[in-house]
Parts: sequence; C-alpha cells; structure tokens
Amino acid sequence: MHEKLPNATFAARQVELAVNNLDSLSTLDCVASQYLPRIIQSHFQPSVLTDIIESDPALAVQFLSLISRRGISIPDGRFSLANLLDKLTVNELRNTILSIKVTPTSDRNNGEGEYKNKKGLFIHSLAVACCAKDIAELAIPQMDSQLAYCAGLLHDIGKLAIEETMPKSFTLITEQAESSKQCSRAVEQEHLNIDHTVIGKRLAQKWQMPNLIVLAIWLHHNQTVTICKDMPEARIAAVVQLADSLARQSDIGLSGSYDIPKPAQPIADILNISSEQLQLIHHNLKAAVERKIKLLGLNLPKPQTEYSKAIQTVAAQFANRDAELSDENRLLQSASSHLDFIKDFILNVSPNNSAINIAENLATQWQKFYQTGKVCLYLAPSVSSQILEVVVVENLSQRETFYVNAPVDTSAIPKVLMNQFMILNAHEYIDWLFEQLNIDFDINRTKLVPLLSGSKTIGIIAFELNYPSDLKLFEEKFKISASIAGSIIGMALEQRKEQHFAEHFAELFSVTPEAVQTLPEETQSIPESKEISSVDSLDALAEMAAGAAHELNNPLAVISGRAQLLAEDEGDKEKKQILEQIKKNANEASEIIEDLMSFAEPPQPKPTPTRIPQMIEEAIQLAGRKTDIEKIDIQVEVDDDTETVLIDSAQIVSAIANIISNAVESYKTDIEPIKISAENEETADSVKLTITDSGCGMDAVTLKKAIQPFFSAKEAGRKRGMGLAYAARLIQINKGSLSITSHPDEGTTVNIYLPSK
Amino acid sequence: MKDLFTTGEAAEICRVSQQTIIRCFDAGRLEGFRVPGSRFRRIPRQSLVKFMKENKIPLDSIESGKRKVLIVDDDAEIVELLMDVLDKDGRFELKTASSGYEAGMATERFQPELILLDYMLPDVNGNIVCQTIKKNPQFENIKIIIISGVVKQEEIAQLLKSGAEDFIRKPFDINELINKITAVLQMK
Repeated sequence: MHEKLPNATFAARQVELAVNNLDSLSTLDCVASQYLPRIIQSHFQPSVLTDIIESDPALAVQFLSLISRRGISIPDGRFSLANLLDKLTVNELRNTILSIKVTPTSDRNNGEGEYKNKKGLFIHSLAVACCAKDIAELAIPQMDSQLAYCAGLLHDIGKLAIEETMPKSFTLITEQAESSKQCSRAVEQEHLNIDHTVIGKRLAQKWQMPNLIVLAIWLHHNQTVTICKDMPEARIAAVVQLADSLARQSDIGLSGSYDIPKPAQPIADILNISSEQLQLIHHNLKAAVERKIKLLGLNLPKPQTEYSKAIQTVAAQFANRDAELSDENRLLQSASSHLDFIKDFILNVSPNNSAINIAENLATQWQKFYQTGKVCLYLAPSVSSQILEVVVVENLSQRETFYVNAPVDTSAIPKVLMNQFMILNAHEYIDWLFEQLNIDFDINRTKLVPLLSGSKTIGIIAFELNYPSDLKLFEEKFKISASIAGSIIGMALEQRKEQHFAEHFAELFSVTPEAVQTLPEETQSIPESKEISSVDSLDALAEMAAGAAHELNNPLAVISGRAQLLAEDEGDKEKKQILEQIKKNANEASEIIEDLMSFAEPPQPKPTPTRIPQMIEEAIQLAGRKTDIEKIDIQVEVDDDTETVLIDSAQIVSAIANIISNAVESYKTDIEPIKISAENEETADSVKLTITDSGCGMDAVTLKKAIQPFFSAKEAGRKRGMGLAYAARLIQINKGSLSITSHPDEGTTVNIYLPSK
Repeated sequence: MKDLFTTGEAAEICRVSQQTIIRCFDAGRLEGFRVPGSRFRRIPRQSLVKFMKENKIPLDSIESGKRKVLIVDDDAEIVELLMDVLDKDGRFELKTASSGYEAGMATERFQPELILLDYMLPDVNGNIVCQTIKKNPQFENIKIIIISGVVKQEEIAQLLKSGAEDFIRKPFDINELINKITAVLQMK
C-alpha cells in the first residue's frame, strides 16, 4: 500500500527546481567530527584529508567540483585524489571543507529516520566504491581503479540529492520500493517523472565531474553489457553496475532498490573477470567497508556531541590564530609606517639644506608619523654661542622658529644624553627651554630623545607622546629615526662648519699681494776668477768616496765575476758579447769610483825641485796621449830666469796635461795654437804658468762649475769630466793655486801658481 | 798536476772505455781539442772535471793533487763567486771564512796552502791578519793574496811588505785571478 504522491508533474517540476538549486551535498556530523580536528593542525597538507574526502560522497563531489573549477587537469589513467588535492592551496581546502553543509542530527532517536537514510546511502556508496575498485583492478584490459572507486562512490548522488531536498518523499519512495520489491528507479519515475540516474547525471555535469564518472552515474542501471559493445568508455558503468549488484547481494547499506539484482556473470564476462575472482571480492567486501565506516566515524554513539566539540575546538583555534595575526599585522603596519617616515624625511632633504632646515622638516615629520602632540627641536649650540635656535611645531600647519638663551648653569644637551640614546621625561631636563618658549607642553606626557650623529648627540627633540603605553613599542623606532635624522643633520652642520672655515681662509688670502716676497734678481756680473773649493769639503768627499768605493766594489765584483763565468760557458756569440759588455761596464763603474777617490785623496805629493820647461814638455806629451793627437799645436814661452818649483812633478805634469787637453777640446772647428807661458811671480815666491787657448770658452754658469768633478759641458759622451777638477786638486795639494778666465767664443786662460821654494 | 789529458788517461780516470771517451768527445759532450796537425784528442782538466760532474762520476781519482785554498771575505756573494770560479777550475779544494777570527780557526784546521784574503773584514784589518799568520811559524809557508775594493797605492806596498804575495782588485778579471793564484802556488 502506498500513498500516491500529489501530482506527479508538480513533483517533477519541484525536483527540477530543487536539483538546479542544489549547490552541494551535505555530509553527516559524525564525519565532520572526524575531519575537523585535522584541519586545525598547523602546516597541514591538503592530502591528510584524502582518506576522509574519498570516503564521503558529499565531500568527494565538492572537492572534485572545486578541482575542475580551478582548472586543475585530471591526468588520464592515473586518477589520484591525493595528488589533485595537493594542487589546492591550504586555504582553499580549509575554506571549502568548512563550508560543507553538515546535516545536524540529534543524539536522541528522533531524527533517526532521516539520519538512517543518509547513513545507509553513504554506506552503500562506500560498498559500491570498494567493490568497483577491486573489480576495476581485475578487469582486462585494465581500468583506472581509483577512478572506478570514485565512480562507485558517487554513483548514487542522485539519490542523495533527492534525500536531501525531499527527505520525506525519499522515505516514501524507498518504503514503496521495499514493499513492492521494485527497483527504486521505477518508483521514482512513477512519482517524480524522473529517476536518480538522470538527476545524478545532471548534477554531475553541473558540478563538472569527470566524464567517465558522469557516464557511470547515468548508466549504472542500464543494459551495460550491450552498451559496452558499442561504447568502450561505458565499461566503467558496467563496473559500477556489477559492484552495485555485489553490494546489494552482501546487503551492505541502503541501496534503495529491492528488486533482484542482475546476474553478475555476463558483466563479469565483459570485463574478463572469472567467477572465482568475483567470489573473492564479494568475500572481502564487508571487511573493507567496515574499515571505511570506522574511518568516517559513522558508528559513533553520540555524533552530535562529538561534532559540537569538534566545532568548538576549531573555532577556538581559529580565534587564537586570528588574534595572533592581528597583532603581527599591527606590528608590521607600524614598522612600515616607520619606513614611510624615514622615506619622507629623506626625500625632503636636499644637499644644500642647512641644518636648521632639516631640523624643521624633521620636527614636522615626527609629529605627523608618530602622531604626537606638540614637538620642539633644537640643535646643540656651538661653543661660544649663547643663543639657541628652536623649532616648534604645534600642529601640522603651525611651525615656528624661536631664539632662546642657552641655559647658563647646565649644558643645552643633557649630560646623560651626550653619547647615548634614552627616552627621558622632558620637563626634568629642559624646563629652562619650556619656560622661555611660553608654549604649554604637557608635563606628564612630554618626552625627549637625543639626535645622535654617530655616537655624538647633536640635538634634542621633545614631543608630547599621545599613547604612553606605546613607549616600549616605539623606543626602537625612535632610536632609529633619531639616529638617521641626527646623522643627516650632523652632516649638514659639518658642511656649514667647513664652509665657514673656507670663507675665513679665503679672507686671509685676499690680503696684500705685495706682502709676498720677490726673489732677488740674478746677478749678471760674474767674478772673473774662481776660487778653488776649500779643503774641508774635499776631505768629507774623500771619506765618502772611500766608503762608497768599498760598498760599491763588492757588488761590482759580483756583477763582473758572474758575467765572466757566464761568458765562459756561453756558446752564443752575441750573448757572449753582451756578457763581456757587462763585465766591461762593471769595471768602468769601478774606475769612476777610483777617480773619485783619487780626487778626494790624492797620493801625498813628494815635492822635488822641478824645472819648468821639462815639466811642460812632459805635460804636452801626456796630453797628446790623452787626446790621441800626435802633435798638439802649442807655443811655449818660458822666461829664462824662471826658477824651479818645488812640487811633485808627476802630479803637476798630470794637472797641466789635463788643462792642455781641455784646451784642445775647446776647439770645435779650427784649431789654433795653444799658448803656454811661464814667468816668475816675485811677490808670492811662486811661478806663474799660463795656458791660453782661443777655443769656445765658457759662459758664466759653466765657468762656475768648471772645476767640479764630473761636470762636463761636452755634448755627448761624458767621458768623466774629472780632468779640470783633478788638475785643480793636484795643484792645490802641491801648495799651488789656479784661476780661470773665460769668455764665450773667445777662449780660456788658465793661470797656475806654483811655489818656487 | 796534470792540466791536459789524453783520451786514454781520461778513460782511466773516469773508469770507462777509451771508446766511450772518444765518442763523447766527438759528440761534443766532452769538450776538448785536437792536437793541430794530428788526430790526437786532448782534454783540458777543466772540461774533464765538468764532464765528470755532469755524469756524476766520482771525482776522487782526479781529486788528489788539489791545492787547498781558503777564501776569506765577509760578503757572502763574493765568497760564492770565488768558490764558483775556483771550483770550476777544478784544481782546488776550498774552504771559506767570513771574519778574521774565522779565518784564524780555518787556517788552523784546514791548513790551506793559499789564503784569498779580503782586506776589509768586519772584525780586523786584513793587514793584521796577514801579519799574524806570517808570524806563526806553523803557517810560514802559507801564501796570501789580498783581494780588495778599497786599497790605495801606498797601502798595497805596505801589504806586500807585511807578507802578502800579491794583490788583486775588485772587480777582478777571472783569468787574471787564476793566473795570480797559479803563479803564487807555482802551479804549472
């Protein structure tokens, strides 16, 4: 006996509407109590919920729908809910799962009827799912078993939808099917003009389920065997049908259909599964389903309580987290605003800003960002100054500069703040300032901080703090801001100091150009004769030369010796020549030193009476050898009565020879005779010897240097300008003297005085 | 002491066959010359020593007959230079000293035949060293050659009087030095 439902068409329309409006299926509270605790774990991965999601049709549908909407592609052949879930973000997952409708039940048995239906359907779906999976695994050709599982899970969503939207009708339909041993489809058609497979299909399509699942939902009551022959993709429907059969045979859950289930064998054949395999699946089914039931908590005694508890815990957790995030947010916000402050401040500073300008800017920004009350700022005064420049910012539009007197008894910068950062109560330290300013700064709220440039305080900023509780919070920021501002102001101050200094400096120099001394003019007249250098300097030279000689000769010996050794073993002619060159030059260097030494400390003269003509003759010959000229053109004029001179003949001969060769060399082009004359010099007990040439002569400067050792006016090839110096020296140690007169292009005359006694 | 060797003599000294010596000579690995107008090869002592050193042939058989020379100079590089020069020559057995004091000790121990003495030593004047050595009857026969960079004419005469055989300046010509040494030691 069954009641006929009011107006089938009306019902059908109602169903359509209801179906269209259905956003999602709802789950049971016991299930919720299982998944809720998991989502409040920190750092949870979406895949920890996989096992629950894949056991609950409502959840599974919801998530598959989400996955499709997100555009996450489902790979062919390897359907894996876990992988797909991991592609969602944690937040998406959490939000979705929390938004799933939960069917409330009471712990009492009142709503048991409805509850029972849904639970039964869930269990039935689970059974079909497990079964479908096993079947798919055994089927040949192989099918995606996970996909089959899902298809099985969702095959009766149509029924779930009916149950959800029209629970009473559902109960009626089920009861009728049970009593008349019909398939629920028939009853549904009768009453609703539509059956759960079509509803299911519509919903599955609406919720963007994978195609194969849609097919399975739609066709699982049809002639799948026949369909399979035409449409191989419909095999999944066959699997689900077979699974449905088996589940009903095992009497697991509420399937809603009470007709005899279709024979399993034909379907099994299509899938190439043997009956033994079927038996095995059948055998294992109950156990598998039991496991899933346990997982979902479907048999929990007091689902409502459990669910309430779970919800409370979750809510509390989230509330906590929210509070934490909120705090964090606040901190970050204040930090970023701090950066904004610094940014703004620095942008307003240009290289030419004076320190006080920057300070003004700072005061304004400070008030703005730290939302303080009135702000006043002053810089450390220079030592001598009695006046302080103070910037006061009362509000954003009012900014003034005042001049106050620096305090007499204390320093303008509180001592304790000279080198360190502290937040102090302003009135304890700068009352003198407030008095002069005549502006009311709230005693209780005004703080002051130093502006540090490096580690030195260069200014003070005082401000009314509006939120005293925030002092700790802001301390770090005050410090940073104050330091940055302090450094910039400090630099501006330095710049100013330097400018002042430069100006002062420039002033000093703009005074009296006449004050600069001029060098004395070069004297044009040169004395005609030159004195020979004094004995003292020569002695010093002698000592130095000796020292130098010793020092230099050792390295020269090494150079020379090594070059010789190398030359002995060297086959290459060119290289051998080079090595010999090295040796030669080392020797030459040594000789230069020797010359210097001789010059400095010539051998002791051994004076013997010497006759002039003889001496001159020898000198000429020696000169000839020196200059490589066989016959020098010399005219000699010796007075007959010239006396003998008491000198070391060798030395003087050498000296005269040197002078003669100089004379020879002074002739650039035409050689004219050199004149040598000698006569007595009565007054000085000496003989005067004169050597004259008409060569190129010497200019004043050259003359001055003529008798300096190593000086040579010859153009190229220095040839050791020792000659004249040597001559002078020799003459000197023989107690004689020498003087030179010369005019450019006219010639040179050398007078030598030699002692005759 | 022999200055020139025939291939046979060289072979004996090196303990190799004469053919080997000839081959080395012809290949240029052993320097020498041919007696002009004949096919005979002659090997100067220096080349033989060099050859033996190059081929790591022990030098004992040629060692005997070396003259003992003590080199005294405080400049390490000069000492090294002199050692290299005399060592290359091959006729000398060498020891060194770098101060008057060391020179004294070395003379005692080493009993050199010749001392190459630098005039300017850190602790004592070369002059004094000369005199001291000569005064000692033990060392009567030791010959001394003074080498120096700083000596004046007169001082040279003075040195020769205090017992030095000869004098050579720094920088020196190697051949000149060897000649003086061989002359003083009456080597051929």
